[in-house]
Amino acid sequence: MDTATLRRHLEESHRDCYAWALSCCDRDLAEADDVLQTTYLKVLDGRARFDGRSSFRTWLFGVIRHTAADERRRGIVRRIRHAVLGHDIPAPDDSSLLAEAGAGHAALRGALAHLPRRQREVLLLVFYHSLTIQESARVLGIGLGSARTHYERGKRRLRDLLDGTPTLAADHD
Amino acid sequence: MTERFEDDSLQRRFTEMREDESGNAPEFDAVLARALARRRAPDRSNHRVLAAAAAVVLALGLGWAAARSRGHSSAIPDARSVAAMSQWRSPTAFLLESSSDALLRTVPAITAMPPELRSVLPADTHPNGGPS
Repeated sequence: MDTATLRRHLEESHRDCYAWALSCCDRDLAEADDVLQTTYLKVLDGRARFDGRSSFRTWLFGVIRHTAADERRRGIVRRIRHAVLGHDIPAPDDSSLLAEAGAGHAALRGALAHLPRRQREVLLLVFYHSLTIQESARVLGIGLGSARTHYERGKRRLRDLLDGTPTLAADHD
Repeated sequence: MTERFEDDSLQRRFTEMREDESGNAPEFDAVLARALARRRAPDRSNHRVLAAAAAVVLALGLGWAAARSRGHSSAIPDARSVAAMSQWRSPTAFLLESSSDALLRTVPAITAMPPELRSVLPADTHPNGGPS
């Protein structure tokens, strides 16, 4: 796939990618922006290659998730380094986070934030991004059976959280 | 209430959230431009870490080289030490001395043919191996 085609595919999926990057970065706007930049560079530089085994969007979501995980690990190292050197850690942009939370979906966002990461990711991929469970499994790099389990448990727990029903601790995985 | 209905209700909530948030994404061109600018600009924090790592490696190398050269110079003994070592005698060396030591230090000279060999060797053989 040449650079122009790649660029066109990236542009077409950009809005979905941004939403998915935000989910992968726990709604941190600056980090999501960084992750998206790194992902686009990886794709355009050929460090991440589309092999055609899935749809371009599914593959791209996988790259974003992988990049976000790397960024999280680097963030931990950066925080330790800042703590050791006594530097101030730049605070996340809370104003935009609050503005987003107040947009009318605070209850759903709040309930999602209480789910274990895998369950939250599967639900977002299926309900928010309209992927199948199989495609979600591919994005997350897990088996189909495992993705189904996360989906069912996550859905049950999300409903309980939205209804205000106490949930079982056993659903944490 | 069926599970299907609950799924539809969840799906509706997610769809509404998605529609509301769809305008929040920054422009693709802006994100890509920032990415390309970042690629051109060197990452100074990485350079600093690399410089610190290089300094540590250099310091370790210099330390190792200094220790090695010190070890080499102390391994070459001076003349006085060599003399002292060559004259050293073990405190128990006298236990190895015996009365037959003098015999072992001299080479015995055979000047006459032993009678037992006279019958075996030819008559003109010299006891020391030379011509008679």
